[in-house]
Amino acid sequence: MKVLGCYSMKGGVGKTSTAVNLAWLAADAGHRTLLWDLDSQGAASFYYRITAKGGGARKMLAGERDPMKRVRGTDWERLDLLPADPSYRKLDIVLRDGKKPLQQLARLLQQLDEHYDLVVLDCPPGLGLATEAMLTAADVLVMPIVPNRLTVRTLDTVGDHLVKRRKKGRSVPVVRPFFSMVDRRKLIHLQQLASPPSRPFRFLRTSIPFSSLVERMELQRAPLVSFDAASPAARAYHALWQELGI
Amino acid sequence: MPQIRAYALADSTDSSTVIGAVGQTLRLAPAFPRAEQSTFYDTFDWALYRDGGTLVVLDSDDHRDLRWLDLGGGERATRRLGRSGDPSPALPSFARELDDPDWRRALARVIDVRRLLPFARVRNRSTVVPVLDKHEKTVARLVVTDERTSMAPPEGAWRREPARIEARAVRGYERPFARLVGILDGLGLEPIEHDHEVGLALAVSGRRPGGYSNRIAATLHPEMRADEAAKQLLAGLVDTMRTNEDGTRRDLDAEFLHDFRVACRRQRSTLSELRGVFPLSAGAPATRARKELSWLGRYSGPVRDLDVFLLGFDGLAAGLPEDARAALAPVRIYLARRQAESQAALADVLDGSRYLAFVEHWQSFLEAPVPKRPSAPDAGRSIADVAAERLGRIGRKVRKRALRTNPSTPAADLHRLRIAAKRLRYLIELTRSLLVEKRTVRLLKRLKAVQNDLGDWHDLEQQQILVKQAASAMHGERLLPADSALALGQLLAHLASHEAAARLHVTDRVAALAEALAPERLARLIPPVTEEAAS
Repeated sequence: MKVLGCYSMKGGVGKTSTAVNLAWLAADAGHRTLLWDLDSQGAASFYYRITAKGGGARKMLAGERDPMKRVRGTDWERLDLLPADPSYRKLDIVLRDGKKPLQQLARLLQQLDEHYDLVVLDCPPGLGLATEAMLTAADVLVMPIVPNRLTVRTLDTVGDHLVKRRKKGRSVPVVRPFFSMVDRRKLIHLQQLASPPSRPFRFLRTSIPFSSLVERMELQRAPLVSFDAASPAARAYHALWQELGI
Repeated sequence: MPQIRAYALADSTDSSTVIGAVGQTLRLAPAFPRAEQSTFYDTFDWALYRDGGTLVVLDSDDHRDLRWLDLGGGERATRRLGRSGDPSPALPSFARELDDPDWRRALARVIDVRRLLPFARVRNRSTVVPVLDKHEKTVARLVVTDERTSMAPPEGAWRREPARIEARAVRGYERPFARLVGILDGLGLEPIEHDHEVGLALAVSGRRPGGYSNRIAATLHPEMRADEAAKQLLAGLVDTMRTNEDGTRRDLDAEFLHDFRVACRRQRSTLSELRGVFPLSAGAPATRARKELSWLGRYSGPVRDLDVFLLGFDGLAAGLPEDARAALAPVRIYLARRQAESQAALADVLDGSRYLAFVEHWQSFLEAPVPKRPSAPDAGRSIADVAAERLGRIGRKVRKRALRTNPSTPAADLHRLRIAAKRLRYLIELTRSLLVEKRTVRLLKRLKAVQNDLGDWHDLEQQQILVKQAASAMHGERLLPADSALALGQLLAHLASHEAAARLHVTDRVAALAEALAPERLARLIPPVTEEAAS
């Protein structure tokens, strides 16, 4: 089983859209896929029409409850979702209160190994304990980056953090940033696309265009790739999935 | 696995009426059709079944998936092979052909070098009706399968299976599923057992899953006449030989020929060790059988040697530098050509009149009852006596050779030890039902270990011969570029080094075997004669 984390330090960069669409594409490619909505906003759960459930997540994270009991099937076969929980607002505290907080997600994911080929994590933004736990659990981390200098700089912060992890002997996922919400009318976006930074991580070649269609996901309550596969944004998500090569 | 509740759909029941009745109470999405074909695969010896699973290629409207299922239908792994519109992606025939390394490893662990063969096909035409909640989320599914057909490849006829309706749960939505089931129960539909298609496929195949084994299954009684016991053993071995004939002829995978050859060798060994049980005059059936089995071996041997070499070629070449590995490509092609030629010659032999006549006469002899007054000296003796005597004799021979084995033992003597150990092992396996099981298991374990080591050493020796022959022939046919010749030299050195290491390993192992074959321990293989038996 592989674990793919969708992460960004800032909100509003297309992280959940990425997680939602990549999870659908993974299932469509034949993988038994679980999308875990770790963001307290519950956006991923909303897109899949699954109500965020209250209660039980603490015990699940502590290993006292079977995670499969909280999993819900989506409208698509081979794609399930572990919905968000209100307790995720204080996920850092929930993890800290448990044993070996950095290992909790990874331990829980091991219980899912026989059921799924791929788990996609829709991670909360920030750089707290939850992020650390996610970094321990993930094999690959995709990071949507809006192509401006400020957001690109966040990569350095993440890069420094991973170096510190490595020095402490902790596992480090493969990080693959990509440009998201790209507006080709903006010069700065075009400049960044033409010369993406080569350090600290190698950018994926695929970029996701800014598109109102992505916002239509809220109305359709479904992944864009499922209802408008021919749109440029959907094709871009498809190309992103192919380039990841999972 | 999410729940499924199935119901028979009688011819008199209109499925749209059922759907309409469900729609009175539950919110339904528009129905959509689904057409699927599942082809089920396993190896000839049911390796996947014995591992508790099966492989299925599922062709649906828009994609083709490879699924590894448990026998109960639970899913272990799935791989997308392609989409409709792609050039039809074939199922790889062997584990080694899979491009995904995890799949390759996992499947090879179960099926080794055996070919995947289709044993059943099931087709479904269904209508799927999603059941929705107030958020228009699918919370259950109603699946009406009004056309299900099945067949056993390659030439079986399609047969129609009864139509059915299924309520399928969506994970985490138990209450809507229960409501759906309640409605269907209330319509008076006849519940039927939900048998995942795996069960149907196994039933359709017409073969007994797990029914083939290359192990000897004969049960002998100590007081049986030796000639009767020998006929029973030999008949079983001929059966195994014939079962593997078609796969050998068609070269489906290397194990067919392996099992075919083992069955032939065991027959020769039986005839040799139980000499004196059948008449041995010039034209006698047993004499003829030994001669014909030896003749068969002259055709099957070269094919087997090349099979083993080619299967292990990449592994052997892996020990060489990268440029040498690449330069060996023409050699591999040449060896594959030689294998194909030898295989064609073997196939001709199996199709030929000499082989067919031999098998017919031999089987007739083995099926005929034993004579009331046998002429062969040991025919009328009890099999227990004859077996004990022969075990003692061959056991002593193997022990003597084992005790004389050291790192400087000439190759010819190691061969003799290898053959003698094989004869002893075959005799023990054939007469196992007469021996003390616990001690037999221990001795067989030691014998197999020695045989494997001697086999590895022998293979490495044979492979050096093959390499030299290939070099000479390719040079003669001007098929040997200079870099390939150099690479062959490196390969030879590599093989020779492995052979030397294998020989040292053998020497260590045979000492333990010699100890296990000490006379008093060999004697304890035979159960003591009870007073009742003695009287």
